[in-house]
Amino acid sequence: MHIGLDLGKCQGYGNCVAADEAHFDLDDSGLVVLLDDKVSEADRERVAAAVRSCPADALWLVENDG
Amino acid sequence: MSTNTPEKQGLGPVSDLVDLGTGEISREIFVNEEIFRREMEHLFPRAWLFVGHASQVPNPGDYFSSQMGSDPVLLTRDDKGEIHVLLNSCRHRGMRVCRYDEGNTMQFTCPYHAWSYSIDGALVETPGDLHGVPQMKAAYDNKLRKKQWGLVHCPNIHVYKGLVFANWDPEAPSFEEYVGDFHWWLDNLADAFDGTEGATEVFRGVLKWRIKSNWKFVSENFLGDTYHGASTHASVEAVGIGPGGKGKRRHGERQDQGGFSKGRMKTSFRLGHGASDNLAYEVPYPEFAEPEMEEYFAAAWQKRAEKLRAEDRPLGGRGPATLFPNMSFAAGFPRSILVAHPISPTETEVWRWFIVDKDAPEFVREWLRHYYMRYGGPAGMTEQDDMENWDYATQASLGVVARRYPYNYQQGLGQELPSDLDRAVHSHHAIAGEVNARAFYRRWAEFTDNLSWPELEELAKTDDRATAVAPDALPEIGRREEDN
Repeated sequence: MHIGLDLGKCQGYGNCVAADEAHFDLDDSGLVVLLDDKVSEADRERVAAAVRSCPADALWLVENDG
Repeated sequence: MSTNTPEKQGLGPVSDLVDLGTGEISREIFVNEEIFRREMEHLFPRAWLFVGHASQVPNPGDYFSSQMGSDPVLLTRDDKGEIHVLLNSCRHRGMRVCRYDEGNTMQFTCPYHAWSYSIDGALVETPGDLHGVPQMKAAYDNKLRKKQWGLVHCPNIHVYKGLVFANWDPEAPSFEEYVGDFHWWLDNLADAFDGTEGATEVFRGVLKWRIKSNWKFVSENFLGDTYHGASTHASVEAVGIGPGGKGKRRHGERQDQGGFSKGRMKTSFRLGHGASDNLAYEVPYPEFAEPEMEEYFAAAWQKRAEKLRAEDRPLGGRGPATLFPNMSFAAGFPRSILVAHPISPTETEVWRWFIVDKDAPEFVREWLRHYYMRYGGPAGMTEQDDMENWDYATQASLGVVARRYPYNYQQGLGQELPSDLDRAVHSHHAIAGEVNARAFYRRWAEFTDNLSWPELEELAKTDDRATAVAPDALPEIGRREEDN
């Protein structure tokens, strides 16, 4: 399971960072940076909430890494 | 009154322009910019206004763009099924955050700078709150207090059998107090044709169009002007647009039950609402040319009659009627809601919703759709008749000379009949009688002059008309010609 990102959509709302600082941060231009794109089963709920909180629809969760 | 124009003397209270003693009302209230400004300021943000129907937003994330006086609003349903009314204006630069008529979304992202508001209660504390702003870190150093910058919430919402009403004033009385005994007409609008409570829904889209008329002409017409029917609507009666076709009436009354029937006295409430009929005046469903329609509605009427009689409730009260100030409707044939949104003193945006039973079969819906289309809306024949009048009345009242002369509201002055309903009276005659309009403009002036809630409540605590009427006339109310 990993995080999908379309950087072209990111507008730096930072909602993902507020929801989950372990996986998301903002760079100097204010856009999202994935600190870790791998998602463990234990983190699933928190990452899913962070992904869902993106107003720009730039993030998603990829269930199947295969 | 003719010399006391606002131009000459400066504009005092609008109650000076509504003379109930003589039955004269100044034309200024239909054309004057300053009076319109006061209506927007003091009347609409304090009145209970119809914003839409719950069936228009059945699922989480559904929204319907509506209007409350001068302000655009969004009727929404959140992820828990709760209904909200939000001001459709971004808190950053005021942009209309939603420019669609209706749809489904869990967030409104402003097209200007992309402030994003959520109606998902899982993401924000209160649905409608600010969910995020672009460049939160760079622009606000993460310090923007998002909770304080959500879409403005309308504080009072009341869903009455699916009809959604809202009021901006936290001090306003409850919806029930505001409506009073007029609720019987709302019941007949919201209940199904067979009397099942609230079992109705909005049918297809909402028709919207603009007319060059003051909004009050519309409200007044539906709240009890049965006097205009014979002249204004002569052509639609000649054509025969009603359920029974040629030779039958447009609202579906049978031949002995038209608006000329003796007992169709109007009902006027001290609170400003009015109806073109009374609860005792029963009009069974129409005769239809189509056997399946005849059968369906005969069964519906029988079921309704049994249900209401068991509740000791009269079967009349289908309007047309107006809930003060600008929600008009008809609860019979057609069954439809019309809101007159004020745009300027001389322009109004009219919205028409059509109502149908939730469980109505397809042939009934299709039949009603055709009837509603030929009756109402910008292309409906009855509606066109009315719009011609309102447009030309407004335009011809704009003239400098015309404005010196008041309108005449003297029909049945002092001849009101008593009513069993709370703070209400009936007209002295089924066709003549402008008691409803007089009461509407009295209440209008009280709101527009910005009287306080305690003052407004005190004035409407009793109905001075009800104590002044002759009680022996009561048996005439509700009686039809055939009863004689």
